[in-house]
Amino acid sequence: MNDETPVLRISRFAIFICLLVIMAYPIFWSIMSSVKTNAELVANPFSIPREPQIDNIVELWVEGDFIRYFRNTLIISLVTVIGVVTMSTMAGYVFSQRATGAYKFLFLLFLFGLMVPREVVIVPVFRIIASLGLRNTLGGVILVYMAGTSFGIVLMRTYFLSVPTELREAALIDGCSEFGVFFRIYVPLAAPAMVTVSIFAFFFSWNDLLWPLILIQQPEWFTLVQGVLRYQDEFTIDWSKRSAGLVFSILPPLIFYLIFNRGIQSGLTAGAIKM
Amino acid sequence: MKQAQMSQSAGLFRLPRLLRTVRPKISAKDVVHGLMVLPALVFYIPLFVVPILLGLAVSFGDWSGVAGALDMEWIGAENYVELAGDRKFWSSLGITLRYAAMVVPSQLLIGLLLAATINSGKGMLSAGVKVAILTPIAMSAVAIGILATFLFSPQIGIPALISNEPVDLFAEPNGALLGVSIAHVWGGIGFTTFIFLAGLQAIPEELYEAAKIDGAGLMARFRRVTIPLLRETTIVNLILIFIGAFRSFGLIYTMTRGGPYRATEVLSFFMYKQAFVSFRMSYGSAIAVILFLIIATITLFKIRLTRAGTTRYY
Repeated sequence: MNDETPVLRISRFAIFICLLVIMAYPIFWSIMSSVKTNAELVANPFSIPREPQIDNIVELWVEGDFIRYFRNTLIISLVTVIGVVTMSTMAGYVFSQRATGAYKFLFLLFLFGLMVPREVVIVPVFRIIASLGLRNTLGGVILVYMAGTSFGIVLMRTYFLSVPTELREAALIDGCSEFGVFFRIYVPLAAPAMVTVSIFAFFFSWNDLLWPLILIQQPEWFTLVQGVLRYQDEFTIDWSKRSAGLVFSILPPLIFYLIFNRGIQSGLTAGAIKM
Repeated sequence: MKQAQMSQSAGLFRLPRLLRTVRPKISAKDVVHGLMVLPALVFYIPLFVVPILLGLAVSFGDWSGVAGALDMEWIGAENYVELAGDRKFWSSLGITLRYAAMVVPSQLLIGLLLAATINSGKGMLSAGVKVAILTPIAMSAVAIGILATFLFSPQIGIPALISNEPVDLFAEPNGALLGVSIAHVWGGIGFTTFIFLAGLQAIPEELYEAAKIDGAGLMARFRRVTIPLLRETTIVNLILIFIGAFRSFGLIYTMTRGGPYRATEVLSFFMYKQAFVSFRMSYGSAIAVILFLIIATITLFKIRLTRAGTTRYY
């Protein structure tokens, strides 16, 4: 397409700049707001902080509540990511090797899970978790997240299907066991896909509102998302303190997003189109 | 040995010849495969598959929040009959549709234009834009909602910047719905754009070359090549955006809690309130089933439309 006019090129440039501002500025703005005093924020919400201070942030981390929310969320996310990626990789591998009978049925069952909105299951799952005595525990939330392997399984299966079968045959001839083939050949090859699955499991478990909202009512076991929401209700006029809470709740996934951007971009479209 | 035992038992229940020859033998590989699928099933079946069936069952009963796990009273379709006569339900459905009517066309059109723009550009800026528009995927609906609340607030937000008597968007029913819609599009536009980008990259370059030789200009090529070939991608996107808008919960919970005067009480929020605030769990489940039916219908529609359109242009 080399018949681009200068007008076209300039308007594209303008669109790009507008986009960068619209997408990145709100996040930048919230970081700026968190290092202003509340008085300065209310007086000059859009200026660069005149005297940057970190009192809000220090207060946030010293007070105790925020650290607890952060720890709860970290535990939930860590266990969920490890569990989901392990289960999805194993099951995805098997479904890539077998596509008949019970395995076909089970794979379709997982695929079906992508279509069912979770609203349908929240009442029964709430009752199951409650009857296990796991309300107001991190374990209850983790259990629910462990059931969310559909996306990972579909993604891993697709990835494993692209591995040439010659590799597998060569390993079998060399006397490798079935699990050995999986563990020594397929898993190392699938590392990029596993990273993608881990990142999405991390984003989901870190950011989810619905399950913690339903399963956890004691502030002691609140997740970050719940904690940040609580700040919105409690510090209505302290905008800068609310900004600080917000910034530190979004920072960990944002950092991961920037590091693993490539894998996220490819995993996103792969998952969506396969759906 | 094992073989001998098996053929002995086969003597008792003599199977037709064909079945006998394909009788499965359980090998070490089968055991390994079974064990590898097992962990995922252990969580998925009791915490997702069974609850789907339970959810359906519960919607035909009376299950309040305090009763024990299993003592449910069957009341047939009573929940659905009540739902049909519930004005709050219908207004909630109407709000959800209005919300979708604001989100879907804007997100679809902006996404298409952005994808076309990004696809035509190369270099650092284009790559940077791709990173920037997808950022919200790392953020919770709550975080996006809070950011939007701040930026739309009359105290420290954009209204304070542009006017001395700033308006509070969230004090007015229509304004509140608009505010949440804008936040929704901001959060979802990256995803939409990326799906369009994948669709654009799948269009063979030769088609553009051929069109160019035939004298088609940039706009003509966009209308005659890009748009028709993006048909399937557009349908996929349309439906994904619609479902996303239809199920919006986190943003509503964060930004408006359904207010002012229930003006933003979309279906999923209405369902949550019935089930977990009023503790009418069966009634809530009936709403969820309706929600599921709507989404399932649209999804089936999508599968039919996209299957019909495959390979048509090649």
